[in-house]
Amino acid sequence: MKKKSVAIFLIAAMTASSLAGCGNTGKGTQSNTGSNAGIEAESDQNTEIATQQEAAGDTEADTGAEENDEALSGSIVVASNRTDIEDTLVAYAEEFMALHPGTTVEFETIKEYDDVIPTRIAGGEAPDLFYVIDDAMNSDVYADYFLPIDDLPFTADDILFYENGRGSDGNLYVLPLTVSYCGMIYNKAAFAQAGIEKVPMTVEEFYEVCDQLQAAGIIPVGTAFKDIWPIFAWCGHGEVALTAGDERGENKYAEQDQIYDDVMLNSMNIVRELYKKGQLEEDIMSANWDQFKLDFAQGKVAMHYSENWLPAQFVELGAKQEDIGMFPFPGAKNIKAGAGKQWGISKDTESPELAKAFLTYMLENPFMETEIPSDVNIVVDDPFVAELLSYGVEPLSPIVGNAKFSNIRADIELDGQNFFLTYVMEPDDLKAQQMVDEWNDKWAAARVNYQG
Amino acid sequence: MKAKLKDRIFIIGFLVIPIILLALFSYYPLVKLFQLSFTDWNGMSPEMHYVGMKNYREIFSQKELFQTFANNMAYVVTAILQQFFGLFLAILLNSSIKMKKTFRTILFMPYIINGVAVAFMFNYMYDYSNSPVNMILNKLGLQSIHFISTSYASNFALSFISFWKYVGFSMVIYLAALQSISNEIYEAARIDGAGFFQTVCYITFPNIKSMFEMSLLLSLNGALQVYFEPFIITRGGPNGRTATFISKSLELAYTYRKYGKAAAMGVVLLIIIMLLIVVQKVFLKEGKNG
Repeated sequence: MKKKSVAIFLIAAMTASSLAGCGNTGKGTQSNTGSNAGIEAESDQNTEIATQQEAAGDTEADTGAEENDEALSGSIVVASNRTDIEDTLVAYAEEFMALHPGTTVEFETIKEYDDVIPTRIAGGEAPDLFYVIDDAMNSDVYADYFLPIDDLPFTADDILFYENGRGSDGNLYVLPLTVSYCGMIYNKAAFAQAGIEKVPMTVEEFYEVCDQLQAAGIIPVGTAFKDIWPIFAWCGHGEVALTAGDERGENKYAEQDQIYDDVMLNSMNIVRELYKKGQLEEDIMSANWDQFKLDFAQGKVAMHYSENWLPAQFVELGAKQEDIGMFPFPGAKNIKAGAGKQWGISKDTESPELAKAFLTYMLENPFMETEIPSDVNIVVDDPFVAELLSYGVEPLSPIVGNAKFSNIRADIELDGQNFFLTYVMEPDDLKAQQMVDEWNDKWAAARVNYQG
Repeated sequence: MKAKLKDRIFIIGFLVIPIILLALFSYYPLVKLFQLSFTDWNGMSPEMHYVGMKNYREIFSQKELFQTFANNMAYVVTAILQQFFGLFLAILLNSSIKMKKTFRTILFMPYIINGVAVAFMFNYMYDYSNSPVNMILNKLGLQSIHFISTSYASNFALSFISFWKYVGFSMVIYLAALQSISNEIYEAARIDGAGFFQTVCYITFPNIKSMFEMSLLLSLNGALQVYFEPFIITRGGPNGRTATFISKSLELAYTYRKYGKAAAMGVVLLIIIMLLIVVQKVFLKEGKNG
């Protein structure tokens, strides 16, 4: 008898242990992988945004489409990567639920968002609201994962990058909550310490400033290269093309045989040059993001090329707000304006009406004061963006494109950011050029299969 | 009869769960791996298309994928060194030194720590500006070391992590083998006037040969499948300098969403490892006959 009970206990224990670990996804800190990680982070800005709205075409006038006054019900799960503001999100959902009694909105914050969401989708367990995973989804496949949201009460006049959210079939599937501007972020205290009074507007001036900073014992440009993604602005095809004044953005490359043309190489060569002169972090292979942010906030690093959501993080880390500023990329024809994470509703959601109502609510009520909403009707005032736009360089956003670029890039397995690191660190100019040629050849060969 | 039936129920009761677990978590994924390797699945889509041998053809036409085995070689070399060092520690701890048990525990400890945590720890140790190692070197008036650089040595820096983690495990295996050798043999040898090295060469080594072979096989196997060090610390960079075969396949799956091709790489590695085992078996058999 005793033996039997021991045996039963053992079997039970084994079963239990086999089931352990089948639990839920973990919660932790914000994931920093992916090119635009953290893009829907801090900052604000205002009315000028309306002028740079490029999204052309049919503005279906469903403004105020069926204001559904019927009581909403059901429950939805909203997946966010912002593990750092979990409490804010919970409070945000509660506000919505107070307005709509009988509904349940739950924010789920996921650390490894880009890995977890695809797995959940594959398992048929997609959250009701989630955003586009850049590496995994493009307009060709929006229809596979998202519900059409053409009937939301917005038009291209209200939401920036509205038209960019359409799938290849012409339906609208996703919308960004925020927009962002690309520019050089700089520490004014560090500039003052090196005796620099004016921000550089040309590449030559930029090199001079870097020399002055280096002479003053300050690291001129921070890269956080070890984490790779923070250098996206230097080598992202969309960022570089728009900064050079080409409104086609990354789509331009699907139409030409060179993925690394002179425009791209000009941008990449600046970092290569700085690396040769020792004007980046001392050892870029161990220059990590967290350390970089701290160094920047303390004025040990003077500049970093990124987007307007970042400066507020330096202020959070102790820098004075008036010490941090933004200026356009030296020699830029335009300032790249882009959409933040693009949110959509899962096509398998059980409460589509509630999901639509909440997405509308999110578009009309930004999570945080420090964000620049995509909704042009919301007036905001952000000191960093205000300075960035004050230098007379016009913002430019990409025209609506297609999935060709990302399809070809995945086909030839090009990791542009990793290649950029390799390119910067290659001491031999000839070898560096060879690597560029190799990718150009691969691009030209693969591009043929994606025409028409 | 009744007792027999009871026994059977008992046996089945114990076996059912492990077998279900094995089938569910080992064999089913394996079959799925083979299936996936013939598709173009992107990791999300509800449907997958069969593409025949396309993934395999692609893999064998991309010589850079097989060049990653050159990086794996650093782990193989380290795995072999790890055997000798593990054995050395085991011999030391098998002798009559003080605080044997404490040392044993300390040396075995790294094996228990989660691999990813270890990688994060070394991530810090290998940081150029903040590494405590470099700090000590600087204090001693020496120059800081670039642990992770564009040179091949980065692979040794990474493989040292496995060395540190698994040397305790090797030690325990050898310790078990050593303790199975009867003390009388050593005593007899000592009476005959054998020294320390002679006893090691003529008594210890021959007696633990089979253990040595097994441990070496396990380590080589591990060296070919290594991924978490490059995946976490260097992401295979710069320029694929530290990428291993598995870290490449993970990159294919997660960065380019080519799950089918990544699965095909898994199958290729499986075949390579099986070949390695066959070769080792044949080799050892010959050794025994000869």
